Amino acid sequence: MSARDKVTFLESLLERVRRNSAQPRQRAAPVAQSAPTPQASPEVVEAPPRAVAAEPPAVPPPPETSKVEVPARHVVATPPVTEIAVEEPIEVVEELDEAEIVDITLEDEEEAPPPAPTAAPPKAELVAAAPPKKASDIDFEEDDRPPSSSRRPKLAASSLDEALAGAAQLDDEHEVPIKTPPPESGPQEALPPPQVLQQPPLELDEPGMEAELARAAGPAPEQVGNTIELEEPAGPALELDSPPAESGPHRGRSADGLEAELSPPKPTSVPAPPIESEPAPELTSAVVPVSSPISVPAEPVIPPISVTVEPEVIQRPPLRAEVSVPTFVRAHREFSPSTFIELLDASLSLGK
Amino acid sequence: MAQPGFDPSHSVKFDASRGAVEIEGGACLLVPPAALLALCRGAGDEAKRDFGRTLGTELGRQVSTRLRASEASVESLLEHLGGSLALVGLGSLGVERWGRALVLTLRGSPLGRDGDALVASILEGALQRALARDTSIVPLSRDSDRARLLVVSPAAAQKVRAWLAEGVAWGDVLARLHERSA
Repeated sequence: MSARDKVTFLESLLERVRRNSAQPRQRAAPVAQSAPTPQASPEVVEAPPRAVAAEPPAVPPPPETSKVEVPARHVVATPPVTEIAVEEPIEVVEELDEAEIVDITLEDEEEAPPPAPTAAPPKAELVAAAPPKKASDIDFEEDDRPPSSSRRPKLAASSLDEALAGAAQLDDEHEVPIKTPPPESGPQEALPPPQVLQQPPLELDEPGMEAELARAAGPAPEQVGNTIELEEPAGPALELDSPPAESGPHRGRSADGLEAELSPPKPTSVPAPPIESEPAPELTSAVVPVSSPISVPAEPVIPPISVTVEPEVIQRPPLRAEVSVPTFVRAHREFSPSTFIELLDASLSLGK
Repeated sequence: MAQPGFDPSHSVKFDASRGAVEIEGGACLLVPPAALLALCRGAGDEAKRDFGRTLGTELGRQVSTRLRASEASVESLLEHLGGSLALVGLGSLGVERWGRALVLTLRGSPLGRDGDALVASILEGALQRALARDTSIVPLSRDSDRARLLVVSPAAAQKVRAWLAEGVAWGDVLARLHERSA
């Protein structure tokens, strides 16, 4: 099929969808079966990965479409492949193109009521729109298997009581221990007041709100000016003569660099200004520049009165040389008896 | 000359079978202090002095048997005389030298203030026996636990007693003794 044919097919399909959308909806249409057989499998055709599920139209396909017979689980698909479910009538299909492929999975089909055998012609049919390489025999045995995560194993019970008993047994086998969640400790997060929770959402109808949102999203293309490319600097490459002074050794530096750091620093050409050279300006509302000093009226300088305050010293008259101030009691430092009897004799000599 | 130290080992012997107590080979008697003081109060001063001198003569004998008292230093004779006095339970003897004055101190005497005169007689007899000097010991001062006993000649002892009776302080008494002897 050439591209033009495809376009024609799609346009006709779109027209048909639009026409059917205007009609009242029909419910529970019979499922079409082109070849009812005792082992009739769900009439599903595997779609390419890009297939998109959609409700198939409940109208017969246009004559341009290639009908696909599904005998014995084989579908001869011709591109483009379009899968259409047959359980429910296709009501609305919007804008079908090559990329959009209607796909009805097996699960949807199984959830639908079983098809009622009817002699009426199928109202829907399967349209295979797969590419030629996909148009091959499809193994329905593999497709019929339910997905592993979506199916619960059916209980082989003949009655409801057996089913309940089996379910109870399964629950006993897979009993989950009941654990009470630990109470939350620590400070709890305070919830906002109910007035805040009930606050109505912001409306964008207010004037200026959209502009604010647009400004927050970034500058508009109209607001972006022309970009000027800066040229590369033509001058010589600038290099730092000496690395910034940092404390401690630097990893990865060579020994020469360390020696350069250890050398005495060269005196800078600009000496540091003295601290008291310029007073710090006061941070007031009225700042007076230093260059224009305020002329303060000179007050008459009163010279300090030099008054010599000296205490009146009264000196004690010197002692005469012949006066012996201390009167010492004889200490008999020279007496040092070596024996007890010597001391005893000295003591016996006292008072005579 | 080095003097031997005081060794009180086996100084006191108690013979319970015979009912005898010996101090360095001499018989002695264990008498309660209160009974001795009562006896001293009933006896006269002369009898009390004789009793004391007799007791002191025995102590001087013990000292003279251990060392040469005439050549003993102050510390050595004090050690032996004080040891003998402690064996009989009269307290701890000491020596103070105030200038040329010899002052003996006694601590812990069981006889107390009332027994100072008796202890002075005991020391007079001990010095007489050990050093062959006639001394007169006058109680100079007394506090709660310590007694000062001045060792002077019998003539100076009369003056000291007179000054003390006049209320002269014991320090001034010592000063006066030195002034008079200068």
